[in-house]
Amino acid sequence: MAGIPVKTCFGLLITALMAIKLSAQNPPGLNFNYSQNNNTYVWENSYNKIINIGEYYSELNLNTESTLMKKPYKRWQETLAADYRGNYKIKDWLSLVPFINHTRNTLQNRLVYSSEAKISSAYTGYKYLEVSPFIGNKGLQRKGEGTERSNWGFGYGAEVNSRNLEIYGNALTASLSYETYDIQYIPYSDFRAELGGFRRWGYGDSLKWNIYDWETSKKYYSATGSGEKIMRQVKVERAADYLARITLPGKYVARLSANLLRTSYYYNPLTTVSSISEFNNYTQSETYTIQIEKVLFNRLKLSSGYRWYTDKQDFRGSYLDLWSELGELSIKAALTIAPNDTLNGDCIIGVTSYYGLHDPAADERDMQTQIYTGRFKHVFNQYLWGELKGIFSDFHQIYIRSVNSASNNQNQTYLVNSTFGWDLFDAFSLIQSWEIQANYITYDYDRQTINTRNQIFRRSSSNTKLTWRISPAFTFISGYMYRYEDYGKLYWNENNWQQATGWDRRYHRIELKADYKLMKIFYFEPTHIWELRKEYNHSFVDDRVIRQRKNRDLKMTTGLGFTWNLADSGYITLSYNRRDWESSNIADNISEFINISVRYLF
Amino acid sequence: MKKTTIVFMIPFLIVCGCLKNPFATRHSESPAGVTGTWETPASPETAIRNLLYACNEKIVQNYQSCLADDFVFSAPEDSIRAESQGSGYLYYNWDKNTEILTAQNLFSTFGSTGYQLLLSMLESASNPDSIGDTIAVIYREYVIRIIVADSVGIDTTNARGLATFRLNQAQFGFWNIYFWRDLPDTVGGYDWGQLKAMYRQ
Repeated sequence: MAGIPVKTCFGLLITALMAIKLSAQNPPGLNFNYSQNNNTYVWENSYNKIINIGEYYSELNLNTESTLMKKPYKRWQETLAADYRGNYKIKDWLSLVPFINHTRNTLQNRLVYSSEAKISSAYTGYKYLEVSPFIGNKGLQRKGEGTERSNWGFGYGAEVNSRNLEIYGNALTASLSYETYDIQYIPYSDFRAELGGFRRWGYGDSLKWNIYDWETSKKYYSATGSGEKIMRQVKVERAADYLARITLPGKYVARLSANLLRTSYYYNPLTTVSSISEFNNYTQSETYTIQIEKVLFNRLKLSSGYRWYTDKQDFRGSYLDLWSELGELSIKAALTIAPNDTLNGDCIIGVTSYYGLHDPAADERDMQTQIYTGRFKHVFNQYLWGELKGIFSDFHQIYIRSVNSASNNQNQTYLVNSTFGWDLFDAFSLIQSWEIQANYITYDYDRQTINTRNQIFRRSSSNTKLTWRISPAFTFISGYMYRYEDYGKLYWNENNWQQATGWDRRYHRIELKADYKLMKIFYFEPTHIWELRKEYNHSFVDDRVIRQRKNRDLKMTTGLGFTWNLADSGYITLSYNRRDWESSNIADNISEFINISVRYLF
Repeated sequence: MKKTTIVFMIPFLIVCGCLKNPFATRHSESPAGVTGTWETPASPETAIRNLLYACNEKIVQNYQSCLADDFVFSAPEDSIRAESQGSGYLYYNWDKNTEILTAQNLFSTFGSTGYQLLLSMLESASNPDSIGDTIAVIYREYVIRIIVADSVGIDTTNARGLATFRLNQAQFGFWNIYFWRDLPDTVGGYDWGQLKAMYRQ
């Protein structure tokens, strides 16, 4: 079994290489990727070739992917896909387009083939229309476990698209298409109609709109319930949307958009269905946004917007029937205080409410969202810059019904970050950042002093990165990171929150990396990463807090990477990483990762 | 400046008008039910524990908070089987939105009388977790006991497999799951991916 995918990969590679020799006009591409770790081996290959002979244009695509997983037991999975598309121009207004596609999917001894052959003819003899009728054939074959099954059948259809259509400055696009395939047991047909327009005027103002109707009818083998049965499904999707930018008096700019969508599914009513997913159903949604922008004093850019969204999901009386509504307000400001000082701020406030569609539902809830962000950046001089950032977010989940309201909670996060960049001289740069954050989760109805679910998580970190370009061919990068985290319960005591730490952990990471260009076309990247993580548990014994080490993890990863650039025609990369992992909780572990990539343009 | 203030008040005026007020929330009834468990996802293991709590307590909001915005779910064995049955679409484009709607559907079903869903997870002895500074891969062997009781009797099914979670650090350095791969513990076995696919909307 193991030999089959390998043989197939090499077979396809040889075919691809032969194809290169036989036809060479435009540069084709060949990609080969191989990677492995302790458990998984992956081969990925692709070949793409464009062949032009006189008035005949064609494109060949071959893709293969093979995966071997060794544990818990050996599994081979393969996907092979080949397609070929041509275009022969008989006259300026008539062309012939052949298309062939074949795929092979395997998993262990299960095998699925699918194939398609199609020929269409594009006629552009009309001034405003392009007509493309087609005939084709599709086939699907399954082998391996279970019933061996083949389905195939012929199909036909046509597509009509508008060309060069413009009315009063509106560029209009219209298209109609219909296709049907009489595939044994699982036939399908598809109808699509689309109409759209685009107009631009004034100082960058524009209006873009689109409406469409898609209707599909198909039969399929239902996977739900016991035994095999064939279901008939009709899907109808209708939508309309627009996007406009309008300059208002006083140089205000308004951006407006709307989107309406309704999707309905109808199933064969004569079949007894076991799954709710095969009930007749529809979903319907509407989104409207308005945003107003203005630049003041050439320094301050302000924008304010509102978004309203609603959707409805109706399974005709099932418990899934819900509708929701969102109202969201956003405000953004960007201020250039001085050439070296910029200040940005934005906030988003919104509520999404969920309601039962026909009757009150247990899942009815509100989710209130507030996110505030502020950022200040100062450039001290050409060598030094600094940035301060602060974020606050609050998500308040409110279940309305008593059955779920015990889960109502507020999830608040505070974050402060500062980053400084220092370019000491051309070849040497240093970036240093610090960050502190806290996350509070408090349950609206939980004020217990024991077994409480209220909690706090805190984190602080420092990150230093140094880049030293020793010579044009040699760059050295080093970094150090330290992070502290703790987590614990929050007790509601004497009308105030009190923290009881449950665990803490510290993390150190040192990274050393070099980028060495031995020659213009060949470079070499050695890496070494050292990581240490220590975790401690806090327990309360005899009125005393005892801190005990829970875990110590030490990981050392050493890697070597080689890249060989083949001028403009491609590259070859090889990388090898070895990780030694020592842990106080599990046995020492050594992992090896190998990756080979080849890309070649002929 | 006065005019500027008035223009920028337009969104506020809309807020105060007939549309949804982003400041007002409803009052809740006093609690009478069970409560949810949530820990600050300061480590990858905590994020996975939160997912376990959310599943067992059937709280969609907590479940949703475990997932990254670019979340992807993949069940390669199940999807190939489904593909051969013509229902491969059940596994197509399985993103965060799909995952939440599926969980909502699943939790609603198993929150009703006669239905029980009990999830347990264990660290995988043959697949040790790999935890980096900003990215982590966590392996968990799981068992889901699915109990359906009706007038005929009690039907118990177990879903078993290996879940591989890839996590990264998101806002505030908290961990989120951005990729979840599910494999049954035996070839063709019933697993979490198949259970979820049945409840995909």
